[in-house]
Amino acid sequence: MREPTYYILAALLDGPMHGYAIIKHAAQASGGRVNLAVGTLYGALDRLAGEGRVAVDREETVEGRTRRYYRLTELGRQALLEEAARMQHAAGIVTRRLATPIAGLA
Amino acid sequence: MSAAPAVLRRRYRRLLAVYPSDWRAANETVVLDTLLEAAGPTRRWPPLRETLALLAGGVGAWTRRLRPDADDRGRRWLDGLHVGAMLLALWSFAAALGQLVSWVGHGFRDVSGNVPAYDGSAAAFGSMVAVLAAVTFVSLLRGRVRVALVAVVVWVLAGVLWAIIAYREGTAVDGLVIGPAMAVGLTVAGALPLLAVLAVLAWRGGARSRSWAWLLVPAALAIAFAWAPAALAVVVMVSLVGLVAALALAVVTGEVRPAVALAVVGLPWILGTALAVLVAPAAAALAVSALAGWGALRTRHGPGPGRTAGGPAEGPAPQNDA
Repeated sequence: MREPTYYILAALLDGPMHGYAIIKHAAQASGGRVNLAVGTLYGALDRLAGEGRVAVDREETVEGRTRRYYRLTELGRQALLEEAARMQHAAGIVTRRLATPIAGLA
Repeated sequence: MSAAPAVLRRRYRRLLAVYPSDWRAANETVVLDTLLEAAGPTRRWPPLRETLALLAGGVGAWTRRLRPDADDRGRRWLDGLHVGAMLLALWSFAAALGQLVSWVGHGFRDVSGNVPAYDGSAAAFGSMVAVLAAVTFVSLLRGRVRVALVAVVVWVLAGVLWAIIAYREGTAVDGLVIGPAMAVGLTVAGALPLLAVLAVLAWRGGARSRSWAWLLVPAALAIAFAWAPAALAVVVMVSLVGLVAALALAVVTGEVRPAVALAVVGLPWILGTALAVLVAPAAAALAVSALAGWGALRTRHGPGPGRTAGGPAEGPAPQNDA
């Protein structure tokens, strides 16, 4: 799973969210690293909807702006949790190793 | 205050023209509003980053539209087989007609060099092939696969009869002496690709009615056969280049129709140039039957209700106003 996809799905853990809110959430959660362009976001959302990982929740018009809310599907939640577990495992390999002093060095 | 967003909105809308129209109908308002929200109130030009992302997104949307969903893949394969069968029938029609035309034009002399004793009986057989190939083509054009299948069976039987009569004593063709048994074998093997494709189409119900504009193709092919061998070479070259391009298209987007259609038509040709004259028809029959069989396998669960091609991903119908 690519990083933008991960952050998009992660944003939707908080509940249904519209496009611009997802962009802001991803930027904030990644410490400004993942700064999604709008075209990229909707391309990813189209793809994820096609894969059944997100779904359109509803549309609302707020202050003259049409907002489409997306929500995470069960399939999307599962994929996200698997990816998180995979990364946690990968990180654990390094962090556990660093926590144990290497014999003969020091 | 509202001038800048209006200008920016117009510019963004122009960029969104790179997306497919049905994508725009479903998403344009939402995406434009998000773009404007992200841009802030004073910006007048789209930032480079957004511009590039929208252009890439447009390409992506077109690619996704071409990429068939699971239900659609087998259907497209059958579509490709259908067009391939039509082109095969056309090819035979044009060949028979072209021979007849050149025969009439040259005053009853054998100018083809491939047919023994190109006389009245050969001309009668040629005319019949032309008529049967035309019937096959028009039946396929109208989606009547069973009628086409009957026409091809009659055509093969006539070919077998002709082979027995014309090659009774062994006739030299291209330096090879062909007797009746071999002539019958070659005739049947030559017809197998078309028969295999039609059988699968009849079995899977895989043919719809197509535009009469297809009739322009036989006219062009017949002219190429009769009067312009160079044009024929161009047709073959364009088909080969087209096949390579179609394979690339199939790999990248999953749109298999052009590749399957061109393979059905092109495989007998390609194998004919690569293999000996006695092996090529059998190899082509095998190869095209494999293509057709794969189409049958892919539609094993029957033609489902979802036959529409492409379109944006699932999700409730968008409500653009509120």
